[in-house]
Amino acid sequence: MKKRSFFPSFYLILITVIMYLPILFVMIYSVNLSKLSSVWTGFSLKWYRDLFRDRNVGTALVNSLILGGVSSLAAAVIGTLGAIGTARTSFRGKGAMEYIATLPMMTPEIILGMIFLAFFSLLGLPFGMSTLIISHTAFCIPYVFMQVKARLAGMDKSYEEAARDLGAGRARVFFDITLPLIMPGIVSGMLLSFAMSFDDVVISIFVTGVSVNTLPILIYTQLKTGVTPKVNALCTLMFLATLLIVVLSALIGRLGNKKKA
Amino acid sequence: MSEPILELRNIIKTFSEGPVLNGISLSVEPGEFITLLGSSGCGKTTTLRIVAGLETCDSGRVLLEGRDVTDEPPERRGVNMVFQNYALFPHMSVEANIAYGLKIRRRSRADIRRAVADALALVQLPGYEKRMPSELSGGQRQRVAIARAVVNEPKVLLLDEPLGALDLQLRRQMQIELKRLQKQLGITFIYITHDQEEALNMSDRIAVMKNGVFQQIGSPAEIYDRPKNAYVARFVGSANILKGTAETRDGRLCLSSGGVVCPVTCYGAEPRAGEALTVAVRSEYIDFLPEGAEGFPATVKEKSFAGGMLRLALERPGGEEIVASRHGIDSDLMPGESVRFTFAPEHAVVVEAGDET
Repeated sequence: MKKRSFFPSFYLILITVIMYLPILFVMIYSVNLSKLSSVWTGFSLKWYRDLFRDRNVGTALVNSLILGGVSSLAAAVIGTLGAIGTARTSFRGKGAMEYIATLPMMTPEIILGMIFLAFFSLLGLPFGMSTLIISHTAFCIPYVFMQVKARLAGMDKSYEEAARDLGAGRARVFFDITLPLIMPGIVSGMLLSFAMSFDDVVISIFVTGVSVNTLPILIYTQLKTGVTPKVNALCTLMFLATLLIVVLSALIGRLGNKKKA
Repeated sequence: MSEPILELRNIIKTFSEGPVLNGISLSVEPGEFITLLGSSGCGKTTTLRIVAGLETCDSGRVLLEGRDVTDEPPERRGVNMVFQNYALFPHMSVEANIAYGLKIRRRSRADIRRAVADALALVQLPGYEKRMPSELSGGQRQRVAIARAVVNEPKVLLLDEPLGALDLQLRRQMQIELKRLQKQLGITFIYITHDQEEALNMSDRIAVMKNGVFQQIGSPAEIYDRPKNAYVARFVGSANILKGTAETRDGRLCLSSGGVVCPVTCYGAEPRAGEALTVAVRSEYIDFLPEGAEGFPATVKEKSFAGGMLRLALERPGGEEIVASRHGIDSDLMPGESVRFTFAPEHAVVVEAGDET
């Protein structure tokens, strides 16, 4: 029999535990009867009930969904066009431009937040949903850009040439050939963007103003007044929702790759 | 003579890496099967892409049925191309792939369905409509790619090394089928290959290309029997090259090389006596002489069998290699033996003459 080392599996388990144990605790305490986070007194869905009754949570959720939806959609359009533009043309400074396009991903969020704040004040834009959408779109674009660019790089140019050869004009080639072939990249970039937007707190706090609350901002402000198990319940739901999106994004990416092969 | 279906006039193309086409001109008759033959990098694919409109040329004109299409985009040229890697749309079924060109031309659904079925029958893949390209073998993809192109009834069909990715047996079979298809449809084929055997088998005419220039354009027999220069002679059927000086004996042009004189054939302007002369002789026309007869001396270096042919590699005293081939496998000659060889005058063709060579 082959001798198996026990270390790799141990290592894997350790990492998983360290990563997921805190989340597990939050999940457990979200169904705790006690108001205190540290004592277990029994199972209850009381906090979930409270959560769903809370008007503020409802509006914040709707705000977050609108924000995530609109900005990931906008990022999908702009990011895709940018990726096609850089992949299918060549010009001086193209490499630099591609690097600049992904810069927001590497810039610390707090700095991005300040930049947006200063920029919007300078323009005199009223703070609220519109500024949230603009800033979220901006930091989501790189995710779509990277995904679509990778997809285009792996795509043979002869598909587009064959379509033109068969009589299709440029626009037709784009909608019939290019778009369907890069769609998995767009969708997975979009889902990633949505997840990023949905849990963003730093940038949002800078540009939201007073009237609009998103879910992460709500949680953050509630923490300041003390952690209630209601927040645990909310965090559990948000975690599960994010997990769902990430898994979906990965599945779509894989599906696209399989088709390509 | 009918009007040419395709005409290239003095096409010049330079990429950033250097010149690719140095002023090529070609005139193709309707229904002709013409092959651009050359090694990789000779400019044959670029030529095809310029005809298709996928590449622009720096100068020169492309005429289709007498109409200047040099500045027309590919979708308005009425030619179709079979790509080297087939380029079947991976997200569309076989049916959707073949129907694509017809759909753009807004043909009716019933028309399209019938045309697709006919095209599939033509390439001997009936009933494959619903398959996806990823579910097909290499040979089947090749057939679908051909069906997708011919279904549009192009004036000219461009084929870029369409059999390059197939194994030898499938290649042979597809060669025959392509030729049959071309006869049946009556479409003009412009075919690219680096395989001289393929070119000789299939073409009505062959254009041998090197360094962005046509070296010779002619029928397979012309190219084979009357190569215009040493490159063509070597590339097509790997002929032997013998160098020497021109001499005249009994009013006939002869090659004098290493003290041996042998009459040769010249299709161009005859060189004067004393000028340098290069002659090409196919390996199957090298004749061995009995002991003592006058002929070119050589030593047998190697003996091998290939495809039912006996192949003898000889070395002349100057170090030049000569290859002789025979049908069958009977030969008493062994490596290391000295032989004398000659050739019939009609099979020794002057490929270069004059003092500059």
